[in-house]
Amino acid sequence: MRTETSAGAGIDMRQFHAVFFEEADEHLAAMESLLVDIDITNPGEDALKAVFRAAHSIKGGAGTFGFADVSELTHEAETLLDRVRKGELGLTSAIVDTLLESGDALKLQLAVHRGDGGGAPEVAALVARLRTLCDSPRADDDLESRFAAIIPGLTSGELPACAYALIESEAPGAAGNEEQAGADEAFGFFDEGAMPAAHDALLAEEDASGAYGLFAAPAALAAR
Amino acid sequence: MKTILAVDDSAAIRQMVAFTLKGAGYGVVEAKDGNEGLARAKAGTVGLVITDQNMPGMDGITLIKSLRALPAYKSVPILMLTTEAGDAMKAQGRAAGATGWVVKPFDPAKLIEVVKKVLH
Repeated sequence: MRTETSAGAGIDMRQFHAVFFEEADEHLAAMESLLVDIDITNPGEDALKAVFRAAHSIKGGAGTFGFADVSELTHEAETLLDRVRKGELGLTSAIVDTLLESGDALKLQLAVHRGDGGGAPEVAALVARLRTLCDSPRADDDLESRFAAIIPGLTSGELPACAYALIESEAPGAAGNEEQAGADEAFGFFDEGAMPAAHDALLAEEDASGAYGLFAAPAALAAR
Repeated sequence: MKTILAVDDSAAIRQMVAFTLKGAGYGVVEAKDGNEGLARAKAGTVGLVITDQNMPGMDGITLIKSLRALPAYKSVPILMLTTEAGDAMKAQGRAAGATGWVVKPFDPAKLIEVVKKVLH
């Protein structure tokens, strides 16, 4: 996607840049404010969602208007934030500090694109830290710690085999828990990466480049 | 020519969508989030809804479900603007009642192409 024009539709994207820069500034300010004030021990779902959404919005706009460096750095921050807001990672001061540093780097990148002068920041080390933090083990990977949350003080030697089975069976992705995973959906999946082969039949059309897709009409589905 | 409702919390994206589609001859009304989108849909009939997913207040999936609950919008095409096209997104969108999706960042020419497919 070109930064300045979209050749296919002959649109000069530069006419939208000013609004994007203004929005990005607002999102960055919101992120910084939320992160500075966040309670690391109890961050709260709303705060995490708001920070994630701000990063997500910057990424989307940057990608749309061709600011690849902004989009890529925001993607790294967003990926880390996604794990935190889903509860897969506990929020730490290291994560907060790295996200704040990411915000500062994004401001510099945007300044370059805006023509405000200054050089593009070097972000390789920052990206490496974001990825390292993101690759941390799940907060609840340890069966013992999960069971200890139910019965404090219990050690692994005291856990009967059936306890492990019980814990695993109560996990959201476990077989038999389908109804809980997406109770208000026509159909749902635990493993986000899995999609039964039959669902490919639900697609009526998909653009070869992956730019868009259309679902099969309900009437077509009923006929199958 | 049908009127299209563009719902996105980013004014820059909304403006780009509106500019692109108006240039192709369509009428466009804009909404900055799902709540405003639903209100605009109820206020007047639109021929197509294009909605972002991650928005403050009412998100895109909830907007799609709310629109499908309205008799006037049971069959109106609804396209999701989404940053990823994974199986989970497809399943969720299809279950909510979406007609299809457009991946962000999108090429304006592709947007016009898919709009023409669902409207003509």
